[in-house]
Amino acid sequence: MRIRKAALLAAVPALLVFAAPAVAQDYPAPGNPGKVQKKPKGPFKTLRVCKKGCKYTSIQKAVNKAGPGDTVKVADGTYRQPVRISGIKKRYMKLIGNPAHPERVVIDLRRAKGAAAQNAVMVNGANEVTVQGFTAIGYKANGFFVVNAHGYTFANLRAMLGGVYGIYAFNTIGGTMRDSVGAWNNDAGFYIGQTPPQDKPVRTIVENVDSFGNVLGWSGTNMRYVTIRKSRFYNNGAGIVPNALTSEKYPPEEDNVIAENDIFWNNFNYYAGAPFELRPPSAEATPYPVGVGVLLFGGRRNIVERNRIFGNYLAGAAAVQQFLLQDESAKDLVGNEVKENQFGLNGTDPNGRDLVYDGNGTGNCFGPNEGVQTTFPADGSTFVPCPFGGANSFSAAVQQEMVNWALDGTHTAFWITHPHAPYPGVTPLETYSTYTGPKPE
Amino acid sequence: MTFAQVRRLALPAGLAALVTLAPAVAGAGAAKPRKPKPVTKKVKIFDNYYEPAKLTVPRGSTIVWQWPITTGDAHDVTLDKGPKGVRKFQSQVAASDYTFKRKLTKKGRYHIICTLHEEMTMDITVR
Repeated sequence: MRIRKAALLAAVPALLVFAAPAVAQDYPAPGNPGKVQKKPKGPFKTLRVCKKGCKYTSIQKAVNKAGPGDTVKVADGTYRQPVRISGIKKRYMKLIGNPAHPERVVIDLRRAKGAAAQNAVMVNGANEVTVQGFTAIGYKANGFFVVNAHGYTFANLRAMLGGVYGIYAFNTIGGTMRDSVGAWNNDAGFYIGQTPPQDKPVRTIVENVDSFGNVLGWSGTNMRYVTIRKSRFYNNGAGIVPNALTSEKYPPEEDNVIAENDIFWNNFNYYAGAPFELRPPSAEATPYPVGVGVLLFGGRRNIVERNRIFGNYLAGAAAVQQFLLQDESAKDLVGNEVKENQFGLNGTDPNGRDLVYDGNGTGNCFGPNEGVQTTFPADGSTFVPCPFGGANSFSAAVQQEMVNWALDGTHTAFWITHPHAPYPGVTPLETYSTYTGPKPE
Repeated sequence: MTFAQVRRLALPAGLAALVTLAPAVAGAGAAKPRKPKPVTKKVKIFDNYYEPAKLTVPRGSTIVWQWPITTGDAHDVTLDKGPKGVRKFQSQVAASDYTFKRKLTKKGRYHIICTLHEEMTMDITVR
Protein backbone atom coordinates (compact mmCIF):
# COMPACT_ATOMS: atom_id res chain seq x y z
CA MET A 1 0.00 0.00 0.00
CA ARG A 2 1.44 3.30 -0.89
CA ILE A 3 0.71 6.62 0.65
CA ARG A 4 1.53 9.97 -0.80
CA LYS A 5 5.09 10.77 0.10
CA ALA A 6 6.48 14.14 0.89
CA ALA A 7 8.88 14.21 -2.00
CA LEU A 8 9.09 12.33 -5.19
CA LEU A 9 12.10 10.16 -5.40
CA ALA A 10 14.04 9.71 -8.52
CA ALA A 11 12.28 6.69 -9.87
CA VAL A 12 13.75 6.33 -13.27
CA PRO A 13 15.49 2.99 -13.48
CA ALA A 14 19.14 3.28 -14.20
CA LEU A 15 18.98 0.66 -16.87
CA LEU A 16 16.21 -0.22 -19.18
CA VAL A 17 16.30 -2.94 -21.73
CA PHE A 18 13.86 -2.66 -24.54
CA ALA A 19 12.33 -5.20 -26.82
CA ALA A 20 12.43 -4.72 -30.53
CA PRO A 21 9.68 -2.40 -31.69
CA ALA A 22 6.53 -4.23 -32.57
CA VAL A 23 4.59 -3.63 -35.73
CA ALA A 24 2.06 -0.91 -35.09
CA GLN A 25 -1.52 -2.05 -34.84
CA ASP A 26 -4.69 -0.10 -35.27
CA TYR A 27 -7.75 -0.69 -33.15
CA PRO A 28 -11.18 0.88 -33.08
CA ALA A 29 -11.00 4.30 -31.53
CA PRO A 30 -11.50 4.01 -27.80
CA GLY A 31 -14.29 5.82 -26.11
CA ASN A 32 -17.49 5.31 -24.26
CA PRO A 33 -19.21 2.03 -24.94
CA GLY A 34 -21.62 4.03 -27.11
CA LYS A 35 -25.00 2.82 -28.25
CA VAL A 36 -26.10 -0.74 -27.90
CA GLN A 37 -25.17 -2.56 -31.07
CA LYS A 38 -27.96 -4.24 -32.97
CA LYS A 39 -28.33 -7.92 -32.36
CA PRO A 40 -27.45 -9.83 -35.53
CA LYS A 41 -30.15 -11.95 -37.15
CA GLY A 42 -28.08 -14.68 -38.67
CA PRO A 43 -27.81 -17.20 -40.12
CA PHE A 44 -24.81 -17.94 -37.98
CA LYS A 45 -21.92 -20.22 -38.68
CA THR A 46 -19.50 -22.16 -36.52
CA LEU A 47 -15.81 -22.07 -37.29
CA ARG A 48 -13.70 -24.82 -35.82
CA VAL A 49 -10.15 -24.53 -34.59
CA CYS A 50 -7.91 -27.40 -33.63
CA LYS A 51 -4.27 -28.37 -33.76
CA LYS A 52 -4.70 -30.72 -36.73
CA GLY A 53 -7.41 -31.59 -39.19
CA CYS A 54 -9.56 -28.46 -38.97
CA LYS A 55 -9.91 -25.58 -41.34
CA TYR A 56 -8.24 -23.35 -38.77
CA THR A 57 -5.25 -24.00 -36.56
CA SER A 58 -5.09 -20.39 -35.43
CA ILE A 59 -7.82 -19.00 -33.17
CA GLN A 60 -7.18 -15.50 -34.45
CA LYS A 61 -7.63 -16.49 -38.07
CA ALA A 62 -10.98 -18.05 -37.28
CA VAL A 63 -12.01 -14.96 -35.31
CA ASN A 64 -11.03 -12.79 -38.25
CA LYS A 65 -13.34 -14.79 -40.50
CA ALA A 66 -16.23 -14.85 -38.04
CA GLY A 67 -19.12 -12.45 -38.41
CA PRO A 68 -21.54 -11.06 -35.85
CA GLY A 69 -23.10 -13.80 -33.78
CA ASP A 70 -20.90 -16.54 -35.17
CA THR A 71 -19.24 -19.14 -32.99
CA VAL A 72 -15.57 -20.03 -32.97
CA LYS A 73 -15.18 -23.43 -31.37
CA VAL A 74 -11.70 -24.28 -30.17
CA ALA A 75 -10.66 -27.86 -29.54
CA ASP A 76 -8.51 -28.96 -26.61
CA GLY A 77 -4.89 -28.01 -26.99
CA THR A 78 -2.31 -25.37 -26.26
CA TYR A 79 -2.33 -22.25 -28.41
CA ARG A 80 0.53 -19.80 -28.20
CA GLN A 81 -0.93 -16.70 -29.76
CA PRO A 82 -3.18 -14.03 -28.27
CA VAL A 83 -6.71 -13.45 -29.51
CA ARG A 84 -8.25 -10.08 -30.32
CA ILE A 85 -11.95 -9.55 -30.94
CA SER A 86 -12.45 -5.98 -32.06
CA GLY A 87 -15.22 -3.84 -33.41
CA ILE A 88 -18.90 -3.95 -34.18
CA LYS A 89 -18.47 -6.70 -36.78
CA LYS A 90 -17.66 -9.13 -33.98
CA ARG A 91 -20.67 -8.30 -31.79
CA TYR A 92 -22.39 -11.27 -30.20
CA MET A 93 -19.55 -13.54 -31.23
CA LYS A 94 -18.93 -16.63 -29.16
CA LEU A 95 -15.45 -17.94 -28.53
CA ILE A 96 -15.90 -21.33 -26.97
CA GLY A 97 -13.24 -23.66 -25.68
CA ASN A 98 -14.06 -26.45 -23.24
CA PRO A 99 -16.45 -25.12 -20.58
CA ALA A 100 -16.38 -28.39 -18.64
CA HIS A 101 -12.58 -28.55 -18.68
CA PRO A 102 -11.11 -25.11 -19.31
CA GLU A 103 -7.69 -26.41 -18.28
CA ARG A 104 -7.61 -28.35 -21.56
CA VAL A 105 -7.80 -25.31 -23.85
CA VAL A 106 -4.83 -23.18 -23.00
CA ILE A 107 -3.66 -19.87 -24.39
CA ASP A 108 -0.06 -19.94 -23.27
CA LEU A 109 1.89 -16.73 -23.81
CA ARG A 110 4.95 -17.61 -21.76
CA ARG A 111 7.12 -17.78 -24.86
CA ALA A 112 5.53 -14.79 -26.56
CA LYS A 113 7.27 -11.45 -26.95
CA GLY A 114 6.22 -7.85 -27.30
CA ALA A 115 2.65 -7.21 -28.40
CA ALA A 116 1.81 -10.89 -28.58
CA ALA A 117 2.67 -11.38 -24.93
CA GLN A 118 0.30 -8.83 -23.43
CA ASN A 119 -3.36 -9.95 -23.41
CA ALA A 120 -4.46 -13.54 -23.90
CA VAL A 121 -7.96 -12.60 -25.06
CA MET A 122 -8.97 -8.99 -25.58
CA VAL A 123 -12.42 -7.78 -26.61
CA ASN A 124 -12.61 -4.16 -27.71
CA GLY A 125 -15.72 -2.36 -28.88
CA ALA A 126 -17.74 -5.50 -29.60
CA ASN A 127 -20.95 -5.94 -27.61
CA GLU A 128 -22.19 -9.11 -25.98
CA VAL A 129 -19.22 -11.28 -26.84
CA THR A 130 -18.98 -14.59 -24.99
CA VAL A 131 -15.64 -16.11 -24.05
CA GLN A 132 -15.99 -19.45 -22.35
CA GLY A 133 -13.90 -22.46 -21.46
CA PHE A 134 -10.26 -21.31 -21.63
CA THR A 135 -7.15 -21.09 -19.52
CA ALA A 136 -4.78 -18.17 -20.01
CA ILE A 137 -1.25 -18.35 -18.71
CA GLY A 138 1.90 -16.29 -19.03
CA TYR A 139 0.30 -13.04 -20.20
CA LYS A 140 2.12 -9.87 -19.26
CA ALA A 141 -0.90 -7.57 -19.01
CA ASN A 142 -4.31 -9.24 -18.78
CA GLY A 143 -5.74 -12.72 -19.12
CA PHE A 144 -9.27 -12.02 -20.37
CA PHE A 145 -9.97 -8.37 -21.01
CA VAL A 146 -13.03 -6.54 -22.32
CA VAL A 147 -13.13 -2.80 -22.93
CA ASN A 148 -15.65 -0.36 -24.39
CA ALA A 149 -18.56 -2.77 -24.63
CA HIS A 150 -22.20 -3.13 -23.71
CA GLY A 151 -22.44 -6.57 -22.23
CA TYR A 152 -20.15 -9.57 -22.27
CA THR A 153 -20.03 -13.05 -20.81
CA PHE A 154 -16.81 -14.38 -19.37
CA ALA A 155 -17.45 -17.90 -18.09
CA ASN A 156 -15.48 -21.01 -17.19
CA LEU A 157 -12.19 -19.18 -17.51
CA ARG A 158 -8.93 -19.58 -15.67
CA ALA A 159 -6.49 -16.68 -15.72
CA MET A 160 -3.31 -17.85 -14.12
CA LEU A 161 0.08 -16.45 -13.45
CA GLY A 162 2.17 -13.54 -14.22
CA GLY A 163 0.05 -10.72 -15.52
CA VAL A 164 -1.49 -7.62 -14.04
CA TYR A 165 -5.16 -8.60 -14.04
CA GLY A 166 -6.65 -12.02 -14.55
CA ILE A 167 -10.19 -11.24 -15.70
CA TYR A 168 -10.82 -7.58 -16.37
CA ALA A 169 -13.61 -5.35 -17.67
CA PHE A 170 -12.97 -1.67 -18.25
CA ASN A 171 -15.34 1.06 -19.37
CA THR A 172 -18.11 -1.44 -19.94
CA ILE A 173 -21.84 -1.40 -19.26
CA GLY A 174 -23.30 -4.61 -17.90
CA GLY A 175 -21.83 -8.06 -18.26
CA THR A 176 -21.30 -11.39 -16.57
CA MET A 177 -18.30 -13.05 -15.01
CA ARG A 178 -19.01 -16.50 -13.66
CA ASP A 179 -17.59 -19.89 -12.80
CA SER A 180 -14.03 -18.68 -13.24
CA VAL A 181 -10.67 -18.48 -11.49
CA GLY A 182 -8.14 -15.65 -11.27
CA ALA A 183 -4.88 -16.61 -9.61
CA TRP A 184 -1.29 -15.49 -9.19
CA ASN A 185 -1.63 -12.04 -10.77
CA ASN A 186 0.50 -9.17 -9.64
CA ASP A 187 -2.42 -6.82 -9.25
CA ALA A 188 -5.86 -8.41 -9.11
CA GLY A 189 -7.42 -11.73 -9.99
CA PHE A 190 -10.57 -9.89 -11.07
CA TYR A 191 -11.08 -6.25 -11.85
CA ILE A 192 -13.92 -4.07 -13.04
CA GLY A 193 -12.89 -0.46 -13.53
CA GLN A 194 -14.31 2.84 -14.74
CA THR A 195 -17.94 1.93 -15.13
CA PRO A 196 -19.74 4.85 -16.79
CA PRO A 197 -22.53 6.35 -14.65
CA GLN A 198 -25.93 5.44 -16.07
CA ASP A 199 -29.43 6.87 -15.74
CA LYS A 200 -30.88 3.38 -15.97
CA PRO A 201 -28.11 1.24 -14.55
CA VAL A 202 -27.36 -2.12 -16.08
CA ARG A 203 -25.93 -4.38 -13.42
CA THR A 204 -22.90 -6.56 -13.89
CA ILE A 205 -23.15 -9.96 -12.23
CA VAL A 206 -20.16 -11.82 -10.86
CA GLU A 207 -20.94 -15.24 -9.49
CA ASN A 208 -19.12 -18.35 -8.38
CA VAL A 209 -15.58 -17.15 -8.97
CA ASP A 210 -12.43 -18.06 -7.08
CA SER A 211 -9.64 -15.57 -6.63
CA PHE A 212 -6.46 -16.51 -4.81
CA GLY A 213 -2.73 -15.93 -4.77
CA ASN A 214 -3.05 -12.39 -6.13
CA VAL A 215 -2.01 -9.05 -4.71
CA LEU A 216 -5.74 -8.28 -4.63
CA GLY A 217 -8.54 -10.76 -5.02
CA TRP A 218 -10.80 -8.10 -6.47
CA SER A 219 -10.02 -4.55 -7.49
CA GLY A 220 -12.83 -2.18 -8.34
CA THR A 221 -11.59 1.28 -9.18
CA ASN A 222 -14.59 3.51 -9.85
CA MET A 223 -16.78 0.50 -10.54
CA ARG A 224 -20.57 0.73 -10.46
CA TYR A 225 -23.63 -1.45 -10.38
CA VAL A 226 -21.65 -4.63 -9.82
CA THR A 227 -22.95 -7.54 -7.77
CA ILE A 228 -20.31 -9.99 -6.56
CA ARG A 229 -21.91 -12.99 -4.99
CA LYS A 230 -21.42 -16.59 -3.97
CA SER A 231 -17.69 -16.46 -4.65
CA ARG A 232 -14.50 -17.05 -2.77
CA PHE A 233 -11.63 -14.64 -2.17
CA TYR A 234 -8.75 -16.11 -0.20
CA ASN A 235 -4.98 -16.21 0.10
CA ASN A 236 -4.61 -12.81 -1.56
CA GLY A 237 -2.78 -9.81 -0.15
CA ALA A 238 -6.22 -8.24 0.29
CA GLY A 239 -9.56 -9.76 -0.63
CA ILE A 240 -12.04 -7.31 -2.19
CA VAL A 241 -11.12 -3.66 -2.60
CA PRO A 242 -13.69 -1.36 -4.20
CA ASN A 243 -11.86 1.94 -4.48
CA ALA A 244 -11.93 5.46 -5.85
CA LEU A 245 -8.96 6.80 -7.75
CA THR A 246 -8.30 9.81 -9.90
CA SER A 247 -6.32 7.69 -12.31
CA GLU A 248 -9.54 6.54 -13.96
CA LYS A 249 -12.73 8.36 -14.91
CA TYR A 250 -15.88 8.60 -12.84
CA PRO A 251 -14.78 8.31 -9.20
CA PRO A 252 -15.88 7.06 -6.79
CA GLU A 253 -17.10 3.48 -6.88
CA GLU A 254 -20.84 3.28 -6.27
CA ASP A 255 -23.87 1.07 -5.91
CA ASN A 256 -22.08 -2.26 -5.69
CA VAL A 257 -23.25 -5.30 -3.78
CA ILE A 258 -20.86 -7.81 -2.23
CA ALA A 259 -22.98 -10.63 -0.91
CA GLU A 260 -22.79 -14.25 0.20
CA ASN A 261 -19.08 -14.64 -0.45
CA ASP A 262 -16.42 -16.37 1.57
CA ILE A 263 -13.66 -13.84 2.17
CA PHE A 264 -10.92 -15.39 4.22
CA TRP A 265 -7.21 -15.80 4.87
CA ASN A 266 -6.18 -12.80 2.79
CA ASN A 267 -2.74 -12.68 4.35
CA PHE A 268 -0.49 -13.41 1.40
CA ASN A 269 2.69 -11.45 2.10
CA TYR A 270 3.84 -11.41 -1.52
CA TYR A 271 6.69 -9.10 -0.58
CA ALA A 272 8.41 -12.12 0.93
CA GLY A 273 8.18 -14.05 -2.32
CA ALA A 274 5.69 -14.69 -5.10
CA PRO A 275 5.48 -16.64 -8.34
CA PHE A 276 4.84 -13.43 -10.26
CA GLU A 277 7.02 -10.41 -10.78
CA LEU A 278 6.27 -7.69 -8.28
CA ARG A 279 5.88 -4.19 -9.49
CA PRO A 280 9.01 -2.22 -8.87
CA PRO A 281 9.05 0.05 -5.83
CA SER A 282 7.74 3.46 -6.68
CA ALA A 283 7.88 6.82 -5.01
CA GLU A 284 4.41 7.54 -6.31
CA ALA A 285 2.16 4.76 -5.21
CA THR A 286 1.70 2.36 -2.38
CA PRO A 287 -0.13 -0.95 -2.52
CA TYR A 288 -2.93 -1.78 -0.15
CA PRO A 289 -2.01 -3.34 3.17
CA VAL A 290 -1.73 -7.09 3.45
CA GLY A 291 -4.21 -8.91 5.63
CA VAL A 292 -7.57 -7.27 4.82
CA GLY A 293 -10.75 -9.06 3.77
CA VAL A 294 -12.85 -6.20 2.38
CA LEU A 295 -11.69 -2.61 2.13
CA LEU A 296 -13.88 0.25 0.96
CA PHE A 297 -11.48 3.01 -0.02
CA GLY A 298 -14.04 5.76 -0.46
CA GLY A 299 -17.31 4.94 -2.16
CA ARG A 300 -21.04 5.45 -2.06
CA ARG A 301 -23.94 3.13 -1.46
CA ASN A 302 -21.92 -0.05 -1.48
CA ILE A 303 -23.54 -2.94 0.37
CA VAL A 304 -21.47 -5.66 2.01
CA GLU A 305 -23.87 -8.24 3.30
CA ARG A 306 -24.29 -11.90 4.19
CA ASN A 307 -20.64 -12.71 3.61
CA ARG A 308 -18.53 -15.00 5.73
CA ILE A 309 -15.40 -13.06 6.62
CA PHE A 310 -12.73 -14.79 8.67
CA GLY A 311 -9.04 -15.32 9.27
CA ASN A 312 -7.85 -11.99 7.81
CA TYR A 313 -5.05 -10.89 10.10
CA LEU A 314 -5.29 -7.11 9.77
CA ALA A 315 -9.01 -6.52 9.34
CA GLY A 316 -12.11 -8.38 8.23
CA ALA A 317 -14.03 -5.45 6.76
CA ALA A 318 -12.72 -1.90 6.73
CA ALA A 319 -13.83 1.45 5.37
CA VAL A 320 -11.77 4.60 5.09
CA GLN A 321 -12.15 7.94 3.41
CA GLN A 322 -10.31 8.26 0.10
CA PHE A 323 -8.42 11.17 1.54
CA LEU A 324 -6.04 11.39 -1.40
CA LEU A 325 -8.65 11.85 -4.09
CA GLN A 326 -8.32 15.11 -5.96
CA ASP A 327 -12.06 15.36 -6.54
CA GLU A 328 -13.20 16.68 -3.18
CA SER A 329 -16.80 15.81 -3.91
CA ALA A 330 -16.03 12.12 -4.30
CA LYS A 331 -13.65 11.34 -1.47
CA ASP A 332 -16.12 10.75 1.36
CA LEU A 333 -17.86 7.53 2.26
CA VAL A 334 -21.60 7.91 1.78
CA GLY A 335 -24.40 5.49 2.47
CA ASN A 336 -22.35 2.31 2.65
CA GLU A 337 -23.76 -0.63 4.58
CA VAL A 338 -21.90 -3.55 6.15
CA LYS A 339 -24.54 -5.81 7.59
CA GLU A 340 -25.67 -9.35 8.17
CA ASN A 341 -22.18 -10.70 7.70
CA GLN A 342 -20.77 -13.54 9.72
CA PHE A 343 -17.35 -12.77 11.16
CA GLY A 344 -14.80 -15.17 12.55
CA LEU A 345 -16.44 -18.43 11.54
CA ASN A 346 -18.30 -18.88 14.80
CA GLY A 347 -15.24 -17.95 16.80
CA THR A 348 -13.07 -20.65 15.24
CA ASP A 349 -11.15 -18.40 12.83
CA PRO A 350 -11.14 -14.77 14.00
CA ASN A 351 -10.04 -11.78 12.01
CA GLY A 352 -7.33 -9.58 13.46
CA ARG A 353 -10.03 -6.94 13.80
CA ASP A 354 -13.49 -7.70 12.51
CA LEU A 355 -14.55 -4.15 11.66
CA VAL A 356 -12.46 -1.05 11.05
CA TYR A 357 -13.85 2.38 10.17
CA ASP A 358 -12.51 5.90 10.43
CA GLY A 359 -15.98 7.39 10.80
CA ASN A 360 -15.75 9.47 7.65
CA GLY A 361 -18.80 10.62 5.73
CA THR A 362 -22.53 10.26 6.14
CA GLY A 363 -25.05 7.48 6.25
CA ASN A 364 -22.54 4.68 6.67
CA CYS A 365 -23.69 1.88 8.92
CA PHE A 366 -22.45 -1.39 10.32
CA GLY A 367 -24.66 -4.16 11.51
CA PRO A 368 -26.31 -6.09 12.63
CA ASN A 369 -23.48 -8.54 11.98
CA GLU A 370 -22.77 -11.85 13.65
CA GLY A 371 -19.60 -12.84 15.46
CA VAL A 372 -18.01 -9.40 15.77
CA GLN A 373 -15.47 -9.67 18.55
CA THR A 374 -13.09 -6.82 17.88
CA THR A 375 -13.40 -3.46 16.21
CA PHE A 376 -11.09 -0.58 15.51
CA PRO A 377 -11.54 1.77 17.22
CA ALA A 378 -11.94 -0.66 20.07
CA ASP A 379 -14.64 1.41 21.74
CA GLY A 380 -16.80 1.17 18.64
CA SER A 381 -17.33 4.93 18.60
CA THR A 382 -17.36 5.25 14.81
CA PHE A 383 -19.90 2.50 14.24
CA VAL A 384 -23.66 2.87 14.06
CA PRO A 385 -26.11 0.12 13.11
CA CYS A 386 -28.13 0.10 9.92
CA PRO A 387 -30.19 1.82 8.77
CA PHE A 388 -28.58 5.18 9.37
CA GLY A 389 -28.95 8.46 7.57
CA GLY A 390 -26.99 10.99 9.59
CA ALA A 391 -23.45 12.22 9.79
CA ASN A 392 -20.90 9.71 11.00
CA SER A 393 -18.38 10.40 13.77
CA PHE A 394 -14.99 10.90 12.18
CA SER A 395 -11.83 9.94 14.03
CA ALA A 396 -8.60 11.38 12.69
CA ALA A 397 -6.66 9.09 15.00
CA VAL A 398 -8.26 6.00 13.48
CA GLN A 399 -7.55 7.20 9.97
CA GLN A 400 -3.95 7.94 10.88
CA GLU A 401 -3.55 4.47 12.30
CA MET A 402 -4.86 2.98 9.07
CA VAL A 403 -2.30 5.03 7.19
CA ASN A 404 0.33 3.60 9.50
CA TRP A 405 -0.79 0.12 8.52
CA ALA A 406 -0.30 1.04 4.92
CA LEU A 407 3.15 2.42 5.50
CA ASP A 408 4.36 -0.54 7.51
CA GLY A 409 7.49 -1.73 5.77
CA THR A 410 7.24 -5.20 7.28
CA HIS A 411 3.65 -5.61 6.04
CA THR A 412 2.88 -7.77 9.06
CA ALA A 413 3.64 -5.61 12.10
CA PHE A 414 0.00 -4.79 12.77
CA TRP A 415 -1.33 -8.28 12.20
CA ILE A 416 -3.18 -10.06 14.94
CA THR A 417 -2.81 -13.70 14.08
CA HIS A 418 -4.85 -16.72 15.06
CA PRO A 419 -4.85 -20.36 14.03
CA HIS A 420 -7.16 -21.09 11.12
CA ALA A 421 -10.03 -23.53 11.05
CA PRO A 422 -9.86 -26.00 8.16
CA TYR A 423 -11.46 -24.97 4.87
CA PRO A 424 -12.06 -27.77 2.38
CA GLY A 425 -9.55 -27.80 -0.44
CA VAL A 426 -7.66 -24.69 0.62
CA THR A 427 -4.27 -24.37 2.30
CA PRO A 428 -3.39 -21.09 4.00
CA LEU A 429 -0.85 -18.95 2.16
CA GLU A 430 1.17 -16.41 4.08
CA THR A 431 4.65 -16.79 2.63
CA TYR A 432 5.08 -18.43 -0.72
CA SER A 433 8.23 -20.35 0.19
CA THR A 434 6.45 -22.21 2.98
CA TYR A 435 3.16 -22.63 1.17
CA THR A 436 2.23 -26.29 0.87
CA GLY A 437 -0.82 -25.87 -1.36
CA PRO A 438 -0.76 -26.26 -5.14
CA LYS A 439 1.63 -23.86 -6.79
CA PRO A 440 1.40 -22.62 -10.37
CA GLU A 441 3.21 -24.53 -13.09
CA MET B 1 -4.65 -0.62 -8.51
CA THR B 2 -2.64 0.95 -5.83
CA PHE B 3 -3.79 2.78 -2.75
CA ALA B 4 -2.47 6.11 -3.91
CA GLN B 5 -1.04 7.30 -7.10
CA VAL B 6 0.50 10.69 -6.92
CA ARG B 7 0.05 12.74 -10.00
CA ARG B 8 3.43 13.36 -11.39
CA LEU B 9 4.32 16.93 -12.06
CA ALA B 10 4.70 17.66 -15.70
CA LEU B 11 8.19 18.46 -16.69
CA PRO B 12 8.84 22.05 -17.51
CA ALA B 13 8.65 22.53 -21.19
CA GLY B 14 12.28 23.49 -21.26
CA LEU B 15 13.27 20.08 -20.04
CA ALA B 16 11.46 18.36 -22.81
CA ALA B 17 13.68 17.38 -25.63
CA LEU B 18 13.50 20.38 -27.79
CA VAL B 19 14.92 20.32 -31.22
CA THR B 20 17.08 23.26 -31.98
CA LEU B 21 16.50 24.68 -35.34
CA ALA B 22 19.62 25.24 -37.36
CA PRO B 23 20.57 28.89 -37.12
CA ALA B 24 20.44 30.92 -40.25
CA VAL B 25 23.75 32.13 -41.49
CA ALA B 26 24.04 35.87 -41.22
CA GLY B 27 25.13 38.07 -44.02
CA ALA B 28 24.34 38.75 -47.63
CA GLY B 29 23.87 35.78 -49.82
CA ALA B 30 23.25 33.45 -46.92
CA ALA B 31 21.63 30.15 -47.74
CA LYS B 32 18.07 29.36 -46.69
CA PRO B 33 17.74 27.99 -43.17
CA ARG B 34 18.22 24.30 -43.30
CA LYS B 35 15.24 22.15 -42.61
CA PRO B 36 15.63 20.32 -39.35
CA LYS B 37 16.15 16.65 -39.88
CA PRO B 38 13.66 14.15 -38.52
CA VAL B 39 14.72 12.53 -35.31
CA THR B 40 13.77 9.51 -33.24
CA LYS B 41 12.59 10.27 -29.73
CA LYS B 42 11.92 7.79 -26.97
CA VAL B 43 9.10 8.16 -24.47
CA LYS B 44 9.11 6.00 -21.39
CA ILE B 45 5.93 4.66 -19.85
CA PHE B 46 5.44 4.54 -16.13
CA ASP B 47 2.50 4.21 -13.71
CA ASN B 48 0.73 6.54 -14.62
CA TYR B 49 2.64 8.96 -16.79
CA TYR B 50 4.63 9.34 -19.94
CA GLU B 51 8.13 10.70 -19.71
CA PRO B 52 8.65 13.21 -21.17
CA ALA B 53 5.13 14.55 -21.11
CA LYS B 54 5.90 17.16 -23.76
CA LEU B 55 7.94 16.89 -26.90
CA THR B 56 8.69 19.09 -29.86
CA VAL B 57 10.11 17.42 -32.95
CA PRO B 58 10.62 18.17 -36.63
CA ARG B 59 8.15 16.82 -39.14
CA GLY B 60 8.84 13.24 -40.11
CA SER B 61 10.19 12.29 -36.71
CA THR B 62 9.51 8.95 -35.13
CA ILE B 63 8.31 8.57 -31.56
CA VAL B 64 9.04 5.30 -29.81
CA TRP B 65 7.07 4.57 -26.65
CA GLN B 66 8.82 2.11 -24.41
CA TRP B 67 7.15 0.08 -21.70
CA PRO B 68 9.30 -0.94 -18.75
CA ILE B 69 11.08 -4.24 -18.67
CA THR B 70 9.54 -4.90 -15.28
CA THR B 71 5.80 -5.25 -15.04
CA GLY B 72 3.77 -2.20 -14.17
CA ASP B 73 0.12 -1.49 -14.69
CA ALA B 74 -1.33 -1.96 -18.15
CA HIS B 75 -1.24 1.14 -20.36
CA ASP B 76 -1.71 2.10 -23.95
CA VAL B 77 -0.77 4.94 -26.27
CA THR B 78 -3.68 6.47 -28.13
CA LEU B 79 -3.88 9.51 -30.36
CA ASP B 80 -6.77 11.44 -28.87
CA LYS B 81 -6.48 14.57 -31.02
CA GLY B 82 -4.12 15.34 -33.84
CA PRO B 83 -3.69 17.57 -36.88
CA LYS B 84 -6.40 17.38 -39.51
CA GLY B 85 -6.10 14.34 -41.69
CA VAL B 86 -3.98 12.28 -39.36
CA ARG B 87 -5.34 8.81 -38.84
CA LYS B 88 -5.88 7.98 -35.20
CA PHE B 89 -3.71 5.27 -33.74
CA GLN B 90 -3.67 3.11 -30.68
CA SER B 91 -1.05 0.80 -29.31
CA GLN B 92 -1.61 -2.53 -27.71
CA VAL B 93 -2.66 -2.45 -24.06
CA ALA B 94 0.60 -3.58 -22.51
CA ALA B 95 2.32 -3.92 -19.18
CA SER B 96 5.95 -4.62 -20.06
CA ASP B 97 8.35 -5.83 -22.70
CA TYR B 98 6.76 -3.83 -25.48
CA THR B 99 7.42 -0.83 -27.67
CA PHE B 100 5.20 1.08 -30.04
CA LYS B 101 6.28 3.62 -32.60
CA ARG B 102 4.72 6.13 -34.91
CA LYS B 103 6.16 8.44 -37.53
CA LEU B 104 4.56 11.86 -37.33
CA THR B 105 4.42 13.40 -40.77
CA LYS B 106 2.03 16.32 -40.33
CA LYS B 107 2.75 19.52 -38.51
CA GLY B 108 0.66 20.32 -35.48
CA ARG B 109 -0.15 19.17 -31.98
CA TYR B 110 -0.69 15.53 -31.11
CA HIS B 111 -2.49 14.86 -27.84
CA ILE B 112 -1.73 11.37 -26.58
CA ILE B 113 -3.69 9.59 -23.86
CA CYS B 114 -3.75 6.29 -22.06
CA THR B 115 -7.34 5.15 -22.42
CA LEU B 116 -7.11 3.23 -19.16
CA HIS B 117 -5.84 6.10 -17.03
CA GLU B 118 -7.43 9.48 -17.51
CA GLU B 119 -4.61 11.40 -15.87
CA MET B 120 -1.99 9.94 -18.19
CA THR B 121 -1.48 12.26 -21.15
CA MET B 122 1.25 13.83 -23.23
CA ASP B 123 1.57 16.35 -26.04
CA ILE B 124 3.81 16.30 -29.06
CA THR B 125 4.31 19.35 -31.22
CA VAL B 126 5.50 18.67 -34.73
CA ARG B 127 7.10 21.67 -36.45
